Amino acid sequence: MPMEITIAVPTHPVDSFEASYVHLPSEEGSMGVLQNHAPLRCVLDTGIVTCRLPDASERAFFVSGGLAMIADNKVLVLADTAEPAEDIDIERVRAAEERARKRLLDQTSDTDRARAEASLKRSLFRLKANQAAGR
Amino acid sequence: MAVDLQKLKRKMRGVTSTRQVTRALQMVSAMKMRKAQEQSERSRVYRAGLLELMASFDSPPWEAVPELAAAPSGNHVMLVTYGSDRGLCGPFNSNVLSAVQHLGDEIGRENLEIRCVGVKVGSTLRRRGFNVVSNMRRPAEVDRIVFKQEVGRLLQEDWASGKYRMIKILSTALRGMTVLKPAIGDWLPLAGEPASASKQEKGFAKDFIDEQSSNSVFAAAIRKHLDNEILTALMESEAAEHVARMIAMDNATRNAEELFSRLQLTFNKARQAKITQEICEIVSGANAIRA
Repeated sequence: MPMEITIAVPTHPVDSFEASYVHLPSEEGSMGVLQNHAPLRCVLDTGIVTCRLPDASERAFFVSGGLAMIADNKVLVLADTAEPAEDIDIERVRAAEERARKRLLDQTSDTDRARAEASLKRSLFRLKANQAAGR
Repeated sequence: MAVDLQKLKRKMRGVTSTRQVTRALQMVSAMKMRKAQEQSERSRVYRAGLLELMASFDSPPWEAVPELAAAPSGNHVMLVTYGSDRGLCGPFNSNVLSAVQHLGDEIGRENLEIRCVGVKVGSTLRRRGFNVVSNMRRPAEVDRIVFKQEVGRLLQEDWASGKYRMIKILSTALRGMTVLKPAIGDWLPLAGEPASASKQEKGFAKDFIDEQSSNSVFAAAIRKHLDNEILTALMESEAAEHVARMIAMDNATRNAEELFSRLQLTFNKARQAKITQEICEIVSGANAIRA
């Protein structure tokens, strides 16, 4: 019996489907979920949610932080933003990465630096998610 | 007959163009309403999930968010109102205004501070002498998330200043196609209310493992819940605004139609009277010549 995974962001549900294995980017480190997992809650970091479907194909989603809850073979991912890897606009991500790197090189205030770092992290994970989907 | 046909004609033209405008506005609102309602519905998945997650805490560890659950110290009340940026939406804004007035009478105007979303309500409240701290426009669709974070941050700062004993949200919701009266909900302090929302569906308590400490998961959930409430109120009141405007414009169109048909009748009568009079004159003139 596969698990049911639902990914939602504040404005809309992103996707919902059945999966046999889900990989979550928890803040404490990444984490794999198989069926009949014990009930669990965690805070998510920026990263990639990877799901293996019952037909052994894989789907990847980029998420930028959020919460997850696992109970009764249901995985609920409440992300701040989430995008299916295949929908990621590579050109835009590369531009964002460039910008973030440039801002990091300039000597700026701490808040700007933290923001640029977060932005760079998002860009890198988006690229990675997209590559994972391309495989 | 002393009816000025030209004047009547002009009036009829005026009413016709008013009717065209109100009908166009009605159709635009209908379209926007459908979209806003759909968006509001789509946002429910996340909201329901978040409530479910918070309900899964058996005894909410309020100590995880001491600053949010703290006994309120100040004596002011911060109210966030959701109104419209523009008028022509029937009683939508005035209902919000009267709810604010009511609250002001209840707790004393001097204790009430207001942050307005939707400038129409804000400027009226200012004129009436309420203490409007900020008056924001409704954000465009793409800016909603930024708006949510921005307002969330502002309100958290307000709360941290210790000046307020509570922060409330005033917003208008829809039930089906009926615009409800604006309702005031509590935002802070937290009173264990979010957890009770879906408690009944829980059969037996599950023992959740928390990847991080329970407290930090709970704190993160609470913060997201607070931010999300700002977004929910925004989307709901937006859908309600469009319904209110649609109904108002429908009424206006119908009134214009009624007025037009009355004018048409007067005009036709006057024109007929004029023709009759002219025939009379011609006939009597001809008779005079023949005689």
